[in-house]
Amino acid sequence: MSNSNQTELAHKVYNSLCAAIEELNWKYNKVDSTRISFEVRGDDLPMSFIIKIDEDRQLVRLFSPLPFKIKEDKMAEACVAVCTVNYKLTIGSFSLDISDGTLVFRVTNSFRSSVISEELLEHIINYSCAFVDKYNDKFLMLNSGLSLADFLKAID
Amino acid sequence: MDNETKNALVMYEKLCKMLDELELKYDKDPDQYEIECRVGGDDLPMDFVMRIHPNGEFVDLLSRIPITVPQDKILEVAIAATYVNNLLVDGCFDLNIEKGTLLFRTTNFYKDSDISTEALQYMLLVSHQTVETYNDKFFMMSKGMLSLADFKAFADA
Repeated sequence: MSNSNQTELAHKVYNSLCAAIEELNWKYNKVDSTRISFEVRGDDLPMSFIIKIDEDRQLVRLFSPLPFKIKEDKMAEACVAVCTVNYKLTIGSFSLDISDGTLVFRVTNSFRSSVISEELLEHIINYSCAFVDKYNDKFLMLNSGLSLADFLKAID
Repeated sequence: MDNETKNALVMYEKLCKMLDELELKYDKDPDQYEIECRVGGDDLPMDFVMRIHPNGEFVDLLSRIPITVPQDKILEVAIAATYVNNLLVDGCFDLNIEKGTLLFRTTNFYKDSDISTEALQYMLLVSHQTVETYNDKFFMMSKGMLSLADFKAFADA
């Protein structure tokens, strides 16, 4: 696919993304011509999302950074916790930066030479909201002193 | 036939077409909407299973790394998997802490969309490249032949 076709396709996906969020009646920000951001009120913690349309890789990339950083003395346990949660996930994964404790849920979806529907983008958003909402409070509790054994019981 | 089943069949045919275009040999399980293929690597053989999921309307690729991490190495490998996952753009290594098994996973939704064979090919090629890069390093870690520090240095390079 030529560069101009890639650019055109990325623009179409971006417009579909905006339409999908509007269909959900959610407020969102157009960060720039490739990214949007929005917040969702979850059961426990507020959830923030950034979705980037990566033209070069032809990917929809969703990120949801959790609103706290894992403490240094909890890092090793958090690695085990993240691995255990990720093993349960069908879509996406939690990424932990062990250099600074940043914990982010991420999902990618290729739109290479494809026609992506608004429903697909809504699907990604809904799945992501559900997974982040399910686990964000558990990670916070782990970070606040919950033992790893109790974390693993809580997510079982 | 409901729409989900129809869409799954269309995706399954695209999946098979993609593999045919790459001239890869594979085993088919149409009842499970699944294919399995083995690709030779520089170090370890790589098995890939791609499956269409009609209910969730996504396709996933799983590649099992042919190691079992002993319990005395689980923590180090969990840190290593976490470290490399943070570097990846697409997909992740999933470590089963209890069993010591490790696999690479990536997914792509296709709901109400026309997903191309190029997008499916991208899934396979990215997975192949990522597994090829790290499978022997995880193997070496599980055998005590590679330290966590050296694994991180490799991942950062």
